[in-house]
Amino acid sequence: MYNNYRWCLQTLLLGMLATTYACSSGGGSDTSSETSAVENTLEGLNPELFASGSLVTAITTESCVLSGGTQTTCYRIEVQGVPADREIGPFCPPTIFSDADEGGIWFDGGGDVYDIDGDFIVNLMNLYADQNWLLYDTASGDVNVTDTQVACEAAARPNVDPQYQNHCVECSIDYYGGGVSQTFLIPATPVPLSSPGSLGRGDLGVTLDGVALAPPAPVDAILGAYTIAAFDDCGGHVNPVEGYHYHAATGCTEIGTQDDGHAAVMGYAIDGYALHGMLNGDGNEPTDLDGCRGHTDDTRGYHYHAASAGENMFIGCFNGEQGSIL
Amino acid sequence: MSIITRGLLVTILAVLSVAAFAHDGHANDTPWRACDDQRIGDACAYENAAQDVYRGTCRAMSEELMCVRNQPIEKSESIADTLLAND
Repeated sequence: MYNNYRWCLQTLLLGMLATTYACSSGGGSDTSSETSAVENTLEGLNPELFASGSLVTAITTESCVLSGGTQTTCYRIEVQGVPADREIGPFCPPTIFSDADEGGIWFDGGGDVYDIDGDFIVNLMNLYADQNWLLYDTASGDVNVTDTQVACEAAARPNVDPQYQNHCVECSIDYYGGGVSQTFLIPATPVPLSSPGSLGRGDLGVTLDGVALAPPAPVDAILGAYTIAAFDDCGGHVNPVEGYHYHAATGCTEIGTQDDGHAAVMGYAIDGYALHGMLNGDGNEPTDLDGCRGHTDDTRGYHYHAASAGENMFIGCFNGEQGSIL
Repeated sequence: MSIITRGLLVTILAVLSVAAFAHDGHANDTPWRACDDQRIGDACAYENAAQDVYRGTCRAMSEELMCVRNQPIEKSESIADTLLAND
């Protein structure tokens, strides 16, 4: 039984006294018997880790009410919505003769990551064991790409317009002003939950390079319409609502380097706990992650580690009360 | 044919025509199937195409349970090497 909307109502009543409140799609604790794995919280969000150019305005603090009703101090973080240090893309390859450099990547949650090159496009019918896949013109070899704003907006949505089935879906960020900024209210000091909370359908955090961390991509709907909503090599893509956003970690945003070889910080979850990359400097993963993919150490306190890109996710749940996205 | 029957027939044909275009998702549904008949927090595991093993616990993702890995990926080569070493 998920309490997302009941928590929102309760918190809304409490939030009438607060300065700022928004009902995030994340909730409080699930009614499960699990207990939180948080052992200690040594430090909260470090505003100085955000990349130059990632923010619309300087990070400030303000009073806020979290998903569990706790009134505390949050950082207001308004990000540009595009990476501060690179151009996004490419996404869809132009032809079935394209190599990996001309396209991005695809993942469907099953663990594997595929380069979207020409061969990938041709072999979709084998990959998904369905002869109906045909993302290219058999005469010219050109890949069917949603290369207009109209096409993008008709295909980059759960109910894909039937005329854009069998298309590689990409949207230019230029359609949306070069980036869709978002404002996050993230607790300055995380507040542990008594038991883990589900992620919900909304964004779950923000990266140090100024981009939203999205929940798993809706690959069911994408594949169900015989489309590939291509990601770039950094695991992000564009839709008309959010602009550019990440669905998985491929290492591009791990810029919060750690002195002891621990995996770098790549961003912060909306509950204020840091999100680190999957692998430590020695190439190994932690072996003591909890169900949310977090753990504690003496240097960093509790924090999360991102899953592999092929898993189409970052973390499994929240161990802290969540802030909000305005 | 009554209006109601005609309307029902049209509806059925419309549904079938939509089904002909779209097909059921979860094209790679192993992380979800790993949590069939499970509850939040239950242990789970699945394999990818290379037979690497992903072990974790069932978590709610967009209101469905799926297996979220929280242990290092067990590469199939490592598993094979271990089996050979134990022979």
